[in-house]
Amino acid sequence: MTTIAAGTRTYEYDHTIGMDDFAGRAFRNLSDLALGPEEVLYVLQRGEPLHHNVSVKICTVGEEWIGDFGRYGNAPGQMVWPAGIAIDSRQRLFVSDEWNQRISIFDTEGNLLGEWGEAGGGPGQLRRPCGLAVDSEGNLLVVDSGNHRIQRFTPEGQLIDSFGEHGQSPGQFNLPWGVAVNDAGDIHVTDWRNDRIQKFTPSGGFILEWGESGRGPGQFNHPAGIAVDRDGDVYVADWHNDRVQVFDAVGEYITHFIGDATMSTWGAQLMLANPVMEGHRQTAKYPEREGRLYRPRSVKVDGENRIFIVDSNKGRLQVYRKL
Amino acid sequence: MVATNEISTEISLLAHLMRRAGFSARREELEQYQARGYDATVDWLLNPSEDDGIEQDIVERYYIDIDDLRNNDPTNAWWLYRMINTANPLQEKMALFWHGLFATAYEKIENGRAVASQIETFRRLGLGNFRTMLVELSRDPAMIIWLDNDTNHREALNENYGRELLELFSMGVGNYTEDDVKECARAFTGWTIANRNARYPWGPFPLEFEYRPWDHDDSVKTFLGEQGRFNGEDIIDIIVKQPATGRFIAEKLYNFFVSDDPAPADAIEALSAAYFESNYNMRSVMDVLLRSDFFKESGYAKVKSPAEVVAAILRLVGDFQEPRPGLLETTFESKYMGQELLNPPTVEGWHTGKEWIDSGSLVSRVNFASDQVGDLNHLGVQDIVDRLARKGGTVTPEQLVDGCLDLIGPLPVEEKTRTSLVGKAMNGGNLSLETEADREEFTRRVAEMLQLIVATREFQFC
Repeated sequence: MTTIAAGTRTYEYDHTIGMDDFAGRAFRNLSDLALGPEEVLYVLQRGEPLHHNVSVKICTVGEEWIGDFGRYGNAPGQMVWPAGIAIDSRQRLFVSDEWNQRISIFDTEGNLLGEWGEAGGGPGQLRRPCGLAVDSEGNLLVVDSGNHRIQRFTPEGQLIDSFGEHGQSPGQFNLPWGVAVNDAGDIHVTDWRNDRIQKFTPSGGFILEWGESGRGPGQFNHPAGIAVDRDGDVYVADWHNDRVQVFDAVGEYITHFIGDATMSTWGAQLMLANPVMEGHRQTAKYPEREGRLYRPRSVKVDGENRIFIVDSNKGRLQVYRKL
Repeated sequence: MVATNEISTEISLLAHLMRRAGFSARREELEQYQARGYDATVDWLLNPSEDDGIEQDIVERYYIDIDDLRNNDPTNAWWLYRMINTANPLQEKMALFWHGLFATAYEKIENGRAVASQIETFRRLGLGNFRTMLVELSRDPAMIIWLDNDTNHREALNENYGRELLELFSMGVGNYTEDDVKECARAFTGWTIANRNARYPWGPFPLEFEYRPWDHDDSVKTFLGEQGRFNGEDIIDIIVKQPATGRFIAEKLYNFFVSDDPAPADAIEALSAAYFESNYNMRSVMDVLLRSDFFKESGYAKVKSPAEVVAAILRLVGDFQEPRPGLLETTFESKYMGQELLNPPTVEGWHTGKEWIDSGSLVSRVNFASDQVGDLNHLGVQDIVDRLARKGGTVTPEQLVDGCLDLIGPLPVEEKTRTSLVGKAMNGGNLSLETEADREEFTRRVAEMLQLIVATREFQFC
């Protein structure tokens, strides 16, 4: 078991969920994840018309397969480029679609409850909506990426407020991606093309920023998803650096994860049924690379401080635990 | 009468250059090149910029399957996107040339990243030294799988790579013996890869070249009259200095960039001389080719390959200048026309020239082009409409035909083709731009004329 000690904090790798494939009990082209009650995970993946593969796959933390929903397309309830998923206290799932320029709302069975959004750059309009987070009032923060701003809506789609514009100065964004809210309501945003994190008050007032381009500690190469744990520590999916970085509440670097994946239950079943495959795997050169993160697009943290990393190009989730 | 191969203006010549050394150019680009001049445009083509104009981060963010390149389809889509948007057109065209020559198929490799990596090698070295290219090709994991060099052992030869290196990649038949093939294969024993089959349950393990000295035949070899304890690089040193290799490269370049017809002796001589004088530097060879009279006088002497049809039309109409859904499906158009990139039918690549055209592929070519130029939502189509409208006044059927032929190429056509187009244009009479209804009619008829033009015989040539 991999244990990472970083100052006063200790993290432990826990387990891996999933295997790579389009169809059925597997993941491919992963973009985001929502943590439901009772250990249920809603895993968002980007389909394609040729494979008609679904957008949301449902399983448990213990890797029990539950089902899936969502088809490729423009019709109500369908998705073309699903990007972000969030769940509220009423167990409603919100999914952003970067091509259909809308937010779709589903129940946990996959039934469409509603849909809103209009393409454009005006107030309340959307251009490539991406990361989602539910604030303490139950409203939805939407990373309106193509408009370089954060917009806050009621669950029914009424615009409440917004902040941000295109640029590099504090409070400005360049194609932001992820958003997360801490217990105090502060809003954290990954400013994707500016390679930095920005933190705002609950009403959108700029607090601080950290990060720059690079591969070193505290540097980023296109940060994507973001999450905050119950202690206020911040987790960033550092997409093109193939890692997740951890920071304290004021942006001080703590540690990072590069991936420690071990065989998942589904993967083990596949290999058990295919001993030739397993033979190739066992004799592979650089076996340690199998466990490494590959373009993680999202990270989420649950109430037990378990960290779920969406290991996008390997079709799996890696789970760590903060001790 | 307009001859089919006439290049009568500087714009025509630049359009010819960009069709061959790139994937065509829109009129505003041609005007920029005209201001620069032909020779300076060739200089620019031969010296690709560090910045190829592709926003890779944007592409990978929205095309999540291109971020992964797990299999052939997204890898193919990625290449098409590059052909459309590259700021280094000759670099991309050279990659297509080398892909046709060193034809390697995904079907056997089953690893999109390995195939993409090979194309990136062609991109990186395509205008560089031919010796370096052959050495890297021999170490390329996709090529090693494709021609079975991972089963070429000291105690059990597999001659496949050794044979094709000589026959299809460098010298051509008749310039070596069967013994040379065996000796060549022996020199490449031990050149293999790691992780060929390990790919589950989370995608492929990284393929990597691996040299195994214990599996390499280190004994003395006799190859093309020379003797020594040759390894693979020694063999390539001998290959690249052969007169046959200079002729081979010259012929292949001529047939790809100049004409579907056999190369005349003086052209072969000029290109081959550049090859040897530059110490096998492809930039120098291409420099001679693109400035030669035989190149400048070769307008419309080649049938467009399907990849050229698709990329050129999409560039003309301005589609996919930024990520949007549908790229994958559009990539399949080339396959429907008979050329699935990254999946050539054999190690010999594709049969080109008139063999690109049969009744089925012609219908696919025309339908695709017609759908694209008939779509008024495309900015490139709108630009053609606007340029024609700018002349104002009354537009006669003849002016409509000639204007569209000019802006879509310029495309010279046989007189009978022009007569036919004018005849169809005359059905609608003269065009005016006075009222909103006139302008709508004008736009519709321009699009209709463009659709007729892309269905002509002449449009199938480049």
